[in-house]
Amino acid sequence: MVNHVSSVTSLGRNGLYDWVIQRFSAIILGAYTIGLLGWLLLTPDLDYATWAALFGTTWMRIATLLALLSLCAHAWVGMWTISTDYLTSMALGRAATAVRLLFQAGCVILIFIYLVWGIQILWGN
Amino acid sequence: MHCHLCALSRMLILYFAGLPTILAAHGLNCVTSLESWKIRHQVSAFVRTSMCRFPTVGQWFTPPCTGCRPAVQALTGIANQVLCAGLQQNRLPVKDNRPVNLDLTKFHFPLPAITSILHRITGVVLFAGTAVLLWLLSESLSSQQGFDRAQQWLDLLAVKLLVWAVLAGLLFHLIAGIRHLLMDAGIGETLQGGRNGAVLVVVLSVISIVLAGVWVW
Repeated sequence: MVNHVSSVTSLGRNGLYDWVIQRFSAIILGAYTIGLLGWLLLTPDLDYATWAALFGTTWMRIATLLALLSLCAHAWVGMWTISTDYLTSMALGRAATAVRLLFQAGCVILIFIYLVWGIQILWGN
Repeated sequence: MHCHLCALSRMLILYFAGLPTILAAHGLNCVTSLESWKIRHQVSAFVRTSMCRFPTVGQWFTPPCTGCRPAVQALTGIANQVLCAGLQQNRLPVKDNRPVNLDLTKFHFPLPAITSILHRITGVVLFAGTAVLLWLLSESLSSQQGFDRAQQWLDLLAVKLLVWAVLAGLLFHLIAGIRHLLMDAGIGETLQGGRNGAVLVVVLSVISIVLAGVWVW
């Protein structure tokens, strides 16, 4: 359901931008996930020193930050799509707009928490 | 003849009851040892047998059988009431004569539709699951003590299951996402290609999720 309230909350302001943002962040997240899972599989007896050394390197911190930012954008586009598809006036009646905006506000807060928390993990210690 | 729903739920039960049994028989800490070959063999045999229980009725998802129908009807009854309540509240006078059929038990859901909705569901699960992953990352990177604490947490069955659930969602979302990107590139875009791709996504996901379970334990 595309109405004024729906489209004004979309990240790229139109579907094509959202589509590109979602795909671009998906590629970054996919590469990061496969890379990190592969590294973990190839490092069976992981200890603290190796783990901390990996996340101590600048390139890994940058890659993780990039993945974190991609996650924020990707999650927002995804949650926005889901909220505008399912939290509609057909499903919820007159409360739909309020419920949807509340849900989206919750998502924004969680994304913001993830971002700040992630940066603290990477550069806090 | 059973329906896809029975087959799926039986597979899930087998999966959650069977895998711990296999792992318990071999001990929990043998994953990195030579024993793991035996386990992998058993797991793949186990996946094969449970996948074979899938009924092959064309490409379509079968409607619920007589055994499953009451449960599905009860669930969709609630969904229908919610949806229809919304409809009635917002119905315009001109739409009064339009037939409203929202009985989800009467729809046939093709496999691509199911992988599509699972992609959305796993996306929401991952959005929440990121908290678990960030918590583990934060603990494990804080100090040697924190790293040991994270490992102690991961020894608990509930935490193992939680991490496995997040990993399972991640693997499905990743594999289905790669298929999306391939389809964006024009690969597997036909009707038959879409159906084949959906089957491939399910098979690859089940195998990798089982292997992820082996890896977590």
